[in-house]
Amino acid sequence: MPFAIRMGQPEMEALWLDLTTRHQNGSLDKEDQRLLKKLVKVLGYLSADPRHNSLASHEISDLTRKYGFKIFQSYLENNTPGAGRIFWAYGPDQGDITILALEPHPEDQKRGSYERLKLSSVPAPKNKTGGKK
Amino acid sequence: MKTATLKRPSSRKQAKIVQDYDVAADAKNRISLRGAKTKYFHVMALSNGSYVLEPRVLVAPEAIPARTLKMLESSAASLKKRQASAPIDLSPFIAG
Repeated sequence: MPFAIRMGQPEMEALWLDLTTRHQNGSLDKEDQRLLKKLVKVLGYLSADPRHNSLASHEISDLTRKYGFKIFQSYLENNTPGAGRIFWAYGPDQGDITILALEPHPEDQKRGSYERLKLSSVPAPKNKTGGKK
Repeated sequence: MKTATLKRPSSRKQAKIVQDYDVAADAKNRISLRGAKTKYFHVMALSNGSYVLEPRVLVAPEAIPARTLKMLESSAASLKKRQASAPIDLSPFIAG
């Protein structure tokens, strides 16, 4: 029986929603299309068999010790130096797998990410009135 | 790989005794720590014959980028509260 894949809240869920919504709208750029394709493939394998050879899944014991439950890591690609990876855990219910994090973070790789930062508005300069003429 | 260290608590007075027992060192001067929560310790041997053990971790924060670690921490905190998204549907992507 395949595992149900869930996304960790709030960031992984937001990331997944963003990717899938933009996929439906057709507004995904090439980088994100590639990421979504890899992610879907890996999640498919993970759902069918978390120990699938392609995933090279293994427990990260230091993270397990830190968070108090077993945390695993799987690779997004094979034979690729610096391939992306996902961190996941079993739960919250039996037969569930929750994706906790994705590396690299999509925003890290995008050029121009600073350009999308929202800047706060600059207060209008005060007009000095009542000065001596 | 760098070894990360936990910050030493600002005051040792805050620590409370949770276990108190006597142990005997074996033939190789080894003692067992009961219920140790960390694998690695920094050991300080004091001139009065006491030993102070401080927990250390070998997870290098640099090995996982800060943003990923932040994402992992928030997801793990939610999962501990049994919170996660609804099961996702991969069929539209696999069929397409």
